[in-house]
Amino acid sequence: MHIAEGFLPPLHAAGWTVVAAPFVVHGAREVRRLVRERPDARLLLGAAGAFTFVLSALKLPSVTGSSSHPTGTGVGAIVFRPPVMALLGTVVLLFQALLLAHGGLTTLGANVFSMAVLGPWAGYGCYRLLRRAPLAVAVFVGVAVADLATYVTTAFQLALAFPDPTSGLVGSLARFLGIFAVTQVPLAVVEGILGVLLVRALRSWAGPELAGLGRVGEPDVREETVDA
Amino acid sequence: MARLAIDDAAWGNRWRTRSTGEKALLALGLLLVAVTTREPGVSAAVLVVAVTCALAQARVPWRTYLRVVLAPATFVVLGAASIAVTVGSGTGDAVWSAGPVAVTEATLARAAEVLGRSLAATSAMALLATTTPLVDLVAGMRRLRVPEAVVDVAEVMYRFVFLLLDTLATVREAQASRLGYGGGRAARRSLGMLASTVFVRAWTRAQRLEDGLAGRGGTGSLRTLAADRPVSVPFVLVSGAVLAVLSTWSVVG
Repeated sequence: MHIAEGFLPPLHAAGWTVVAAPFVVHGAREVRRLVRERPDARLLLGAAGAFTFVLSALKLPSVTGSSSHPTGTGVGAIVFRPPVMALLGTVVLLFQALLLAHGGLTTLGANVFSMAVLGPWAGYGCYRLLRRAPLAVAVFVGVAVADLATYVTTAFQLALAFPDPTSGLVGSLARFLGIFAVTQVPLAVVEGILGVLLVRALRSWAGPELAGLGRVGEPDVREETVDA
Repeated sequence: MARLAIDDAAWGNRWRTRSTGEKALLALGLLLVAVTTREPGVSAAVLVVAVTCALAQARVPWRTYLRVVLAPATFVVLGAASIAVTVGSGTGDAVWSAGPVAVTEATLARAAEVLGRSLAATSAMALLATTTPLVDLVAGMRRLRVPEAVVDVAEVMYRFVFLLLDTLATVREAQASRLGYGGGRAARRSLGMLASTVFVRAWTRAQRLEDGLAGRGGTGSLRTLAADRPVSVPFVLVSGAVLAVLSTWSVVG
């Protein structure tokens, strides 16, 4: 769920940009370090970013018939770890704003914080906590939580910007949560299933590529993915 | 080859040969004015300037431009409707009410303000998106000292987006022609396979590209020669004047 261009008041837009900036700078440093160590990471990260962008062109058969699409941040965070995802997610959001008119430049900071920072960290945290659980469960929970955390954060950002005159922040939060729950909750479930299918298909078809993934992202991904 | 309407417009409009800097100055300036203003008149003026520049000057196809401006419509309308409605007691000046739910003049005014701001800001952003190819903007970021590694990743991404959209369309067609989307269960399975095929293709293509580059001794960044586009002084002066007038109007009110 991207906040549209110009939707947030200027102070909020600037504030969220300031909040998101350190994560993105940290991510940029991670990527720079990665590319210095292995020059091929540049192309692989570019391909992964493009994949995330293209995922947003995949319309999911959502319950409400609306055009929800997967955010891809959950799987990305599991595969690449959240810091790298923060930078990749930022570039993807920029591409979505400029190539699909989805999201915006002034609301980029707010969208980066919910979609590329908080969602991935929450999803990745759950995935790590469920290390002992079957892989499918860990991936499903990780991806679904990344989606839900993103949606709750966006609703919170909107509620903070537009508190209800009578019931205040809480009333407003409940309303924004309610209005977007119709599309976002089924989306989280469907994307969780899709994430499991994606990882399962990758395990059966793409052994060498997954080995490459582990090398780029996190050394223990390969062990976890293959052995679990 | 897969195409995106905005990208097509960005490569084919009359402002294609203008320097990235001057287009960014005008569009981002308009965007800044649109987001910060509280005057409905200024919002309307930004909208008029952006639409005039895009359609009359740059000759962006009006369908593309309209689609860009209306793309976030669902979100904006839902969001604005949610702002207009208030729940709870103490709604004295209700314009409309049903039980605990009410629409007051204050909330209605705020929703209208958000609608106007979104529309004006989107039209300004659309001016940049439909007149400047994304690669030009990425090259501009390199000049603004964004880390080289980040710019490289963005450039590779731009190239891969179109390759992957092609793969996506082809695989999807093949699945659909085998009734892969016939039912809910099959559709979910097909989607999982589609996503993973596209992922594996992206991955192997990136590795092949890397092998090809490594074989030619390429280790550094993938820089290309940018066309020399001098900044047009009249364009900058006129843009500056328009922005000055709009921001003064916005501040003075």
